[in-house]
Amino acid sequence: MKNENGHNELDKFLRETFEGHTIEPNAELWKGIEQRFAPKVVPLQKYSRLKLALYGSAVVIAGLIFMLVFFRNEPPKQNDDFKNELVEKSTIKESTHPVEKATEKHTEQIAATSQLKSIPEKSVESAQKRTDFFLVEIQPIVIDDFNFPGFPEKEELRKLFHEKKIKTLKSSKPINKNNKPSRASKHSKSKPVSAKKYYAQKSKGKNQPGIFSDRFDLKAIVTPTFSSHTLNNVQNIAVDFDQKYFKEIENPRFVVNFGVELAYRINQHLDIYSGAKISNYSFGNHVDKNHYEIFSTNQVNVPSSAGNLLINGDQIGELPAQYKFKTHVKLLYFDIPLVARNHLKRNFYLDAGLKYSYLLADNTTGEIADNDTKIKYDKISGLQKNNFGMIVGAGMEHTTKSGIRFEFGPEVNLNLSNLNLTANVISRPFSFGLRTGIYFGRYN
Amino acid sequence: MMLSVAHRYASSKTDAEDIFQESVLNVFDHLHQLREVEKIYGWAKQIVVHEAIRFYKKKRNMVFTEETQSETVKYEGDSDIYKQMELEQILQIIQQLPDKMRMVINLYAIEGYKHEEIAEILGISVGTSKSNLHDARRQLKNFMNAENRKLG
Repeated sequence: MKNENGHNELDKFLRETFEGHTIEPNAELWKGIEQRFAPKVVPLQKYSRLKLALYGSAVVIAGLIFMLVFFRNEPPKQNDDFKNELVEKSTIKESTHPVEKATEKHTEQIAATSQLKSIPEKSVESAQKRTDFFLVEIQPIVIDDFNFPGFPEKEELRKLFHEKKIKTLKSSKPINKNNKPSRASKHSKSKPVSAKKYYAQKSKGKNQPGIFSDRFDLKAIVTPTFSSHTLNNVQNIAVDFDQKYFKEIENPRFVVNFGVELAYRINQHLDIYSGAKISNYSFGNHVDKNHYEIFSTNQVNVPSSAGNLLINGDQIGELPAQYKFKTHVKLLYFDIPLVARNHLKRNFYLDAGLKYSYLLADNTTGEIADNDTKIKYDKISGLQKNNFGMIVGAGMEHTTKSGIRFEFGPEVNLNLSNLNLTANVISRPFSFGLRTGIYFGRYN
Repeated sequence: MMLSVAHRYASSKTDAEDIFQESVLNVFDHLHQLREVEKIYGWAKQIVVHEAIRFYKKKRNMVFTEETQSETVKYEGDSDIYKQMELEQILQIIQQLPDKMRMVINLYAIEGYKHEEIAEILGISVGTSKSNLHDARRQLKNFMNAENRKLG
């Protein structure tokens, strides 16, 4: 009894002695603490990822501009022989009339061919006749040359033809005021074609006219996908929360992503496309056994790759404790891609680009089992709304005989930014799927 | 206040300062978790206590052992000798205690935890907690008596 009283007195003495006792830290100690303070800014990893995404975008855009400026289509080159003939026969007469000017030059060019060597000397009338002749027969050649300097614009040319009351190209017979058989009927080897048909045939080749114009393609995309996420950097969460064992297992799940894309054809080998897409990420998380200790009565938010767990809901501070945690992460994003496509041989292509993703919905569900304390699963303010990612893909395009164009091939999407708001848990969703696209419009 | 608590749990001034530094950083890192501002002193004190326990668990590999004590062991000298001592002297004596005894005496006598709670905090049994407390008290008084004889 005496001993117990003595113990109590000692305990009481110690408690009273040290209650309110303070020791002032010296300047050196504070200096040491200040040096260890890091500024509260965006975590370095996140900043690096964002910086990488921005630099990548700048490189892609710079590369596209470079390709656009330096690799645009060049006019067809003539062989040296043909060039020499043109030089020899070239006797361009000065004329104020744009049609005459054009036809004079064309006359000399066409003179190199065997068909028109016997054309008489230029005069206004003969130039007019040649114009008439040219309209019908050699137009497939002439129209391509419309782009050389000095030649009038198409609208101007049409206007001039209208003024001279020349029959339109719909007429199959060559235009001839004197009802004489035209040279076209003697010398032409191919039937005259209408302008509409000509333009339809003009762009025969790899890059066909799309739904809007000869430069744009609109397509619908469906991508069946497997998605999962990378998980790392799980750190101790709170000062009064200590996790002793943490094992998380990820199970990829199957989803379908879809959207529309608009592609712009820069040249024969390079496209750039963007669009609006809905993409899902779905994967399972399973924490087999999480053993922890809580040293206070505070509720603790434990971030995970699926949101937040609110530990110690009873605010009792029971410890040690453990729990099992199983979640199915289901995230819905709105994506805006910006991708460059390189067309290879035999209709194969390679894609590479970036994307912006906005989190539309988080339908993650969680189950907690075998828990010793009250744990509440709370998804509030756990996940990033704005994300950046990259897209890489390959595949091939195929156009059916009826003119329907498809594309299909593998595609990988990877989020570069952290799924979570906290840097304690870094989770980056990714998906691997088979991209399938169908083009709007007919391609012949 | 935080440095004072760190000194009580540490075995040296250097260790106390290390514990204090880590505790201050933890306070600022987790300040957003504090829901009631008026409880900041108790909250910060708890941070120091648990930082000290972590410090000695990790760095010193602190191991608690069961020791049987006899209730018949008598204390030497005057049991009230501690009341005549300066605070600094008592603090130095507490720092001289072995790590395990120092933890238990601080948690029980000064912080007011029960043996069951101490057992959970330190990961030991209730019996071990009690025996270490007993040893701590005995050792504390022996040190105090020895100090008193030096000053004599």
